[in-house]
Amino acid sequence: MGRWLRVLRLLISKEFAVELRGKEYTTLLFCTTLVIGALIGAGVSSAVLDAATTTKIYPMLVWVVFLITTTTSSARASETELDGRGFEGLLLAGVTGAQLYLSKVAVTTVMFFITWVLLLAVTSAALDQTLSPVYGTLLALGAGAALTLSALVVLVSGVAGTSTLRGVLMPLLTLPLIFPLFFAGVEITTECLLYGALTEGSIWPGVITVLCAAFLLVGVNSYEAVVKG
Amino acid sequence: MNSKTPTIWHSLATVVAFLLVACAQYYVFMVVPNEQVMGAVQRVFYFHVASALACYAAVGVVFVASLTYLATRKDGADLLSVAAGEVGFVLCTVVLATGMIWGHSAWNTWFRWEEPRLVTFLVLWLIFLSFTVLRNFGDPAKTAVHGSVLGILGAITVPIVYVSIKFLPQSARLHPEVIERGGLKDPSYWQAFGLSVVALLALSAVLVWVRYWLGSIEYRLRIGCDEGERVV
Amino acid sequence: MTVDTYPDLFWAYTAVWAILAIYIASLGARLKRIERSIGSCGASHRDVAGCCDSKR
Repeated sequence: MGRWLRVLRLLISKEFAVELRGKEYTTLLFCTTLVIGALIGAGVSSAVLDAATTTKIYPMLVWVVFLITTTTSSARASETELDGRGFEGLLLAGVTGAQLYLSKVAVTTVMFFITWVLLLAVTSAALDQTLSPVYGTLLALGAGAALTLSALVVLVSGVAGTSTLRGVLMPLLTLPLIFPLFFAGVEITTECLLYGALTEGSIWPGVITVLCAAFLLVGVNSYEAVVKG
Repeated sequence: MNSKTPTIWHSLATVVAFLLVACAQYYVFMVVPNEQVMGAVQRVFYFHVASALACYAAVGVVFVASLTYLATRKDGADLLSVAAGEVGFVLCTVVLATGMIWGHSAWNTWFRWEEPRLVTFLVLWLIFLSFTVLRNFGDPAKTAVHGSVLGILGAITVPIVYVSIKFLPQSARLHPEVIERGGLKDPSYWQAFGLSVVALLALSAVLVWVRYWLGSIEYRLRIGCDEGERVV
Repeated sequence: MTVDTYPDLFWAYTAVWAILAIYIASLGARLKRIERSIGSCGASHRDVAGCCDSKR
């Protein structure tokens, strides 16, 4: 078990090093977030909505931007390894599919979480929303959502990465599967903004937990098959 | 792979399935009385619910066949998963279309986002759509594995979607709960409903069979081509 | 509750289902024919490749 965890830690370090060296994925993710966030701000402003209506639609806008930017930007998440046969080399070296999958999920979760923080900052400024009283809850929500989303995205990027449609296929495969996350995210954000805190006994954190567990379970068990074919 | 699919059994199954459909139709249009509130439009219920049950069955087949393929790598399981996925997609389209026709008559709107079952079927339809797109545009060498993983993910997500929509605050339970609330009082209602379910399940099975058969022929041609290219 | 019958709808739908039934039955016959032709040209790899080309 100790060796297994050591290999996993090494893989996570490798993933971070590769990402920090190339910065392709990070650039794509953050720039897309900024551009779409700005577009949403301009769109809401041109609709001349009152403050109450803007607060009502804000959670939906944030989640639409978050899910679209993360899924479209992740089309190339596994491309380097898939093109350069990097996965096969690692698997031949004795690394398991579960370790590979979890290391990628860890790095992607961190990137998605930073995207979430960036998105909250950009959209709250653009749409004049005060998030400071509920920032802790929203950050916890972002962490859970980032983990759930990356558990799915890493698995699906292995599927979409070698298809003939590549980038187009990624959101098409991912978005229908994250409807429960979308519902849960919008509801929790709305509860936070309207009531100042998450309602006691709310079902939505449970929905995210179940979805996350399901995606992780499928990912850990099938990622090796996905990359090997 | 079965190389000699008996035509006689296929023809017989097709005839039986369509006779069942004809009988169900006879009941729906000629025997059951008009429902008091909805009138004639309520008759769409028989094919709507039967298609929905057949669609759920197709999801179940996709799930089991995908798991079997990943565990055993038997091509038959993959072909069955493809066949059930495509038939499920058609059935899901029928459920959505008939649901919207009924909804327009009952609620004066084609679609209601507060309605758990309608939204569940929309999400299911999107999942079937992505499944079909992946099967057609995926990496040919890995489509079977990738399709199986997506099939499992889709089948797991559907119940979570259903449960989560039920907890949405504005959910007003607009969908009629005919069976749960002990509706269908006239015996002919039950006979028509039972017959419709059996007919649609039989028809779906025949369609899955034909698609599986077609897939097995394509598979044999592909294998033949691969070997031929290697020799030539 | 009124008992109304809809013979026109019944026959219209029957016609649609009958067309679908005939199509599926003919599809079965065509698949059987293709299966036979694969069997007959499967003796040589070159021929099998030819079958694939014509199918494409």
